[in-house]
Amino acid sequence: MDSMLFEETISLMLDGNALAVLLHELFDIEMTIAPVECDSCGRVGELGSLWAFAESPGYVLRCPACQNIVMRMTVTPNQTYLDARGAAYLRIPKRC
Amino acid sequence: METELIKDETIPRILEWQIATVIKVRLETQSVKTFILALPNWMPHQAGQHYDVRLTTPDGYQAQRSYSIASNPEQKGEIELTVERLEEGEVSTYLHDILIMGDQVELRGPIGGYFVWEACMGGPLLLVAGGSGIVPLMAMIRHWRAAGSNVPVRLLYSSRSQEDIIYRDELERLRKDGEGLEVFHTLTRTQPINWNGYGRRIDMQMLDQVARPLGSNLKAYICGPTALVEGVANGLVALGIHAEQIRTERFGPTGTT
Repeated sequence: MDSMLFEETISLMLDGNALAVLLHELFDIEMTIAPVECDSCGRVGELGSLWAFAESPGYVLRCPACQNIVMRMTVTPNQTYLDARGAAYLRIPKRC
Repeated sequence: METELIKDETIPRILEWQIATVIKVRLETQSVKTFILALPNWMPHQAGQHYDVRLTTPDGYQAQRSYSIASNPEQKGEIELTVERLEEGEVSTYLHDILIMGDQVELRGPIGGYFVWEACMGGPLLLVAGGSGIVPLMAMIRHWRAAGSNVPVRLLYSSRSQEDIIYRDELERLRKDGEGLEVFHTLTRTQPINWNGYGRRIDMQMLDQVARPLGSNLKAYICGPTALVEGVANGLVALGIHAEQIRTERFGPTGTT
């Protein structure tokens, strides 16, 4: 990867907790504490601990250990697309 | 719906907008104000969580931004949002230039559960802030104090100049109380004469000096511009702190200190 581009990308980076509202609306529960396993490297960590990128048409969550794209979300006026092929699993908290 | 919200405590089933009333505005620095807001559906938050603020123009255009809660959950019925005025900011300029006591504003929250600290989580705590990144950490410090937690807390706070330090007097008071809070300031642009704090960007040596006395089991919370958060988080890992002990909230590229 071009090192200048990478530095610029890093400066735009947020944390998964920046997507708390979007995730909450999608799953109907607070999700930033939900553990997710990266399908590429096996790291398990809360959604809030992933790298988030929001300066694009959609939202991208990357694994902080291997940079694999774990989840992608795109919001249109009528629906939300969720592409989670980079996740081995997502543990969604049960409502009590 | 309302009873359900109450039952669910800090996890509202659906994030509902509510109309809050400004009960006080406090000038913190030249470019930072705190808005104290009364909420009809107030619920206890966790220190570190945020609220969304939504503005609607008469023609229906809406803008919304997320702001960290500055107050501690023991302060019931109201929340404090500390907001930096960003020159290009759609929402922060309105809040700063237009909003006054008695005005109403739409809010929803509390939001987020990852970048939070509660007294029951223990410590010791290392808090590192850049600029207005102090806000969620101040909520943690206020909660720490109000809950009577006895874990040691060390705050490393980077500001441009002495005038830009948010909550300066309150931090000084809390430090002098001797309850276990230590505050380390660094001023990156200008330092007053006789300044005895740090006078540079946060580096490894500074991090080591501030973090080492807390031992290797510390819990770290870092909030500020992305570049600062990146540097500090990587620095702590290099000092032997496990990544799982470090929680970060990055602002993105704006508001560099």
